[in-house]
Amino acid sequence: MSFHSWQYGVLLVVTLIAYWCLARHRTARLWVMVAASMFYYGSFAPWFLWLLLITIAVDYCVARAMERTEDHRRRKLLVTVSLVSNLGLLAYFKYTGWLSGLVDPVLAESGSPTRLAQLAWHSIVPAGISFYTFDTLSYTIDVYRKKIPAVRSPLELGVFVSFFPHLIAGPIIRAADFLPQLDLRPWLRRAEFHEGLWRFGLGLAKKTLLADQIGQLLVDPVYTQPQNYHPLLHAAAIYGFAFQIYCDFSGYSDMAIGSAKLFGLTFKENFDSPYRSRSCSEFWRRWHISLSSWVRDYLFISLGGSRGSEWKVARNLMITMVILGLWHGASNLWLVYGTLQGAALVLERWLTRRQEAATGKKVEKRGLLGWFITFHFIVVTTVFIRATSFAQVEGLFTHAGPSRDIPGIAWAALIVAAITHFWPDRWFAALRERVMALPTPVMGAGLGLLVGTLFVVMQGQTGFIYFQF
Amino acid sequence: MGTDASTEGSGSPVAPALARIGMLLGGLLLGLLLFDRGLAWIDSWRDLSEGEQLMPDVELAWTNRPGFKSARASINSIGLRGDELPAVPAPDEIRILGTGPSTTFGAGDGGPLDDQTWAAALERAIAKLPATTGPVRVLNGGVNGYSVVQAARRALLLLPKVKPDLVVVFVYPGSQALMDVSATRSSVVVDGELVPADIVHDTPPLLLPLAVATHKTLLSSSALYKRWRLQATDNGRRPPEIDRFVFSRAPHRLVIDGYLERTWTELAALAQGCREAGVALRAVLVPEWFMDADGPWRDYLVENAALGAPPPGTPRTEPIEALAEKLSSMGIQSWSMVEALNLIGTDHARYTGDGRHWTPAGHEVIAMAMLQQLNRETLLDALRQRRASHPRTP
Repeated sequence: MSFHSWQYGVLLVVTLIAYWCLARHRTARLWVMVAASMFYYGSFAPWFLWLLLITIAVDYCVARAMERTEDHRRRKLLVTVSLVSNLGLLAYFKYTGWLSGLVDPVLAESGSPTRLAQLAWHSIVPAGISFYTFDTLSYTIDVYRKKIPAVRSPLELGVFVSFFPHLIAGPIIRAADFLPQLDLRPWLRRAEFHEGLWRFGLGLAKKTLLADQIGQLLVDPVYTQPQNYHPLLHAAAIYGFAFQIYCDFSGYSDMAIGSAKLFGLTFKENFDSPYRSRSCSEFWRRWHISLSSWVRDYLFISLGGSRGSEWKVARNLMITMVILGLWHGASNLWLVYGTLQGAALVLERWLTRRQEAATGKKVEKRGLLGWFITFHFIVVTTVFIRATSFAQVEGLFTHAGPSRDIPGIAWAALIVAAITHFWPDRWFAALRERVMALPTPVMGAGLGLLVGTLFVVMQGQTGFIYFQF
Repeated sequence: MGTDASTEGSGSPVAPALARIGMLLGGLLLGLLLFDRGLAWIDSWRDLSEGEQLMPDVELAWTNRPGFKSARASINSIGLRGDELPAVPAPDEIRILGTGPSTTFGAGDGGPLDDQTWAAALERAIAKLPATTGPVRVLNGGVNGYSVVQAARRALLLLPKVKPDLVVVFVYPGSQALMDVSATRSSVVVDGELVPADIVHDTPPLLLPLAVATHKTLLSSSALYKRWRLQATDNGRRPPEIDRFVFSRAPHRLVIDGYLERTWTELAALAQGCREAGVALRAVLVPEWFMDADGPWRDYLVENAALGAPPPGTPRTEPIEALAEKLSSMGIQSWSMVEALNLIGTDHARYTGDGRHWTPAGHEVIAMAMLQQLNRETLLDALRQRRASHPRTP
């Protein structure tokens, strides 16, 4: 059930009505949220629910047990149980296939009858497992670090982990941000309601009017049949995918944030015009913010962060970015992507240190050249995200044909995506203010017109790219 | 069940929230209605598929538009590619009717003209055979985007119109062909009226009269609904985790069986129809475009292991062999196009325009492979003998 399906619309409306009818009763409204979330998640595959419930049960027990003891060794043991169970499930479902591809040939060569592939029980990666694993890990780690108390009821943890707007593709939320909101008595203020509708509509438009048009009409044909298309279209498809994935994922995040707002709940922002970044480190502060801040707080800093020698920092950066790459997908392409991002951060840090040493001044902000290099590095490395094999990457750069036949609507979508990404914030803020000031029925009518347009424009529904992670 | 102590103002949050949701839903409905009326106005002066090759069809979801003409293709009055059938055919004329998807029709970049498709090439090749006596007409009944379900049903529907001696259905082992998601509205008669089968199947019997009435009302009053029902393709409804399915001997998921069952049922109905009409039937088994060489096939298996593809290591010829076995168990003989596709895989630039659809040279290869099968079975002689005892009448 995708966010841009009518089924999701019905689920959202029914859940909202039930939630607000029971708004005065905390436990009842939490049950509504959990029931809707379980229904939503079960619609992908009912057996996914078992994994989710196991995760919630283990982390609830672990956190409660940690809170009952001051014994540091015991607390450490408990948090290790959480890490092993969560990362174990993630590794098993997501990485067994990939690892077996790497390890099994070696085992076969050595004459061993054992194969890693024999361990794979199911070839489908449970939807959203990468996201909710990180949600719940942040909870147990924060309880271990005594940043937050353990929740009293498994219901609260259930809502935190499974709340359907963020369950499948984020944003990755933190218990410290989300759980206190459950204790506040909800009140659907006009401003929040309109903000929710605006964000939902904005996300829907980004996904279906921009991302899908660019993807289906430009990126997909060129990536699958590069030998038929002119080299200029290869370049357009590479830029196109960068904007497609941005509009797809930030559109999803907008819809998630908007959906949560309709319940009176706030998720943190997940994107901040990332292609405006003037350095790679800035890019990772603006792109998928909930993930990059997660790996910074729980991985990079745990490894030692920016403390220690330059070599140690470089090592920490590389490990963090390689893991960040592999978090997205279990493939050698993602491994390369993560490695390239890590190398870029290391190089950037080294150049910055050199520049600072030479000038004696701290480098605050880079200029247009910094933007140009960063933008093109990020765009070119997305080839490893979109391609399905190294042969396809190679084909994109080495094979070409005469065809320039790409529908005008794809160009229009790409131009709109690029212009709106770079236009001044104040223009966007002014548009938002105007829309938000409209009466609620007019906003509803606008959403109705948008839904109708999407119906006519859509070329067959395509899933969100980040659903596969 | 506890009630929170803190309050926003002094009232209940329920009424204002529900009022807002109500206003939103009212506005949403109004917006959709406005859009629907606008669309109806546009549709009233613009035939949705005017000048286009395909048109909606209640039995087949969509079909070729009779009388369509473009720079590359023309469609005759009964929806076949190419010229009209003669009003008075020769009594001994043999007719071979082929149905299938866009490859059968001859679509794609640099696709063939009417006289360059497999059908025209086969007709010419047969005419050159030394032993040829009576005329042989090969009819191209391909329709872009068709699944095997649609191709088989189209052949069945064309039997009385075309009166073929041999029907060839192009069958591919991939998901698009074998797993029909076209919302092919195999209409069901309910109270004397044709109703789309999906509505009949998805509605509890008690609610069926209401569903049928709603369907009829919406169909006559809503432009959005009409477009939805007439939607030609329905790519999004095939579950993504099985979208890369290719038929093989490997066990597959239950959900795939549901799709396949429909394909086998439709092919069995065609076989039955052909038997009753005394028409020979052959399934032309064509490997998918990624099966014409070892490299792409290997990549496909590895990349799509989680999306319903056969397990890595599956031999490239297995899907066609498995299909042949399955069809044979249903009493349908088949012709393998593996050799032909192997040849096509050696030179894509020459044989395929866009990687998937054949160029005129590719169609020639397929026609030659079919001719080889006809000769191997001495099928033409058998067809001539049968036709001699049942001369064709106008």
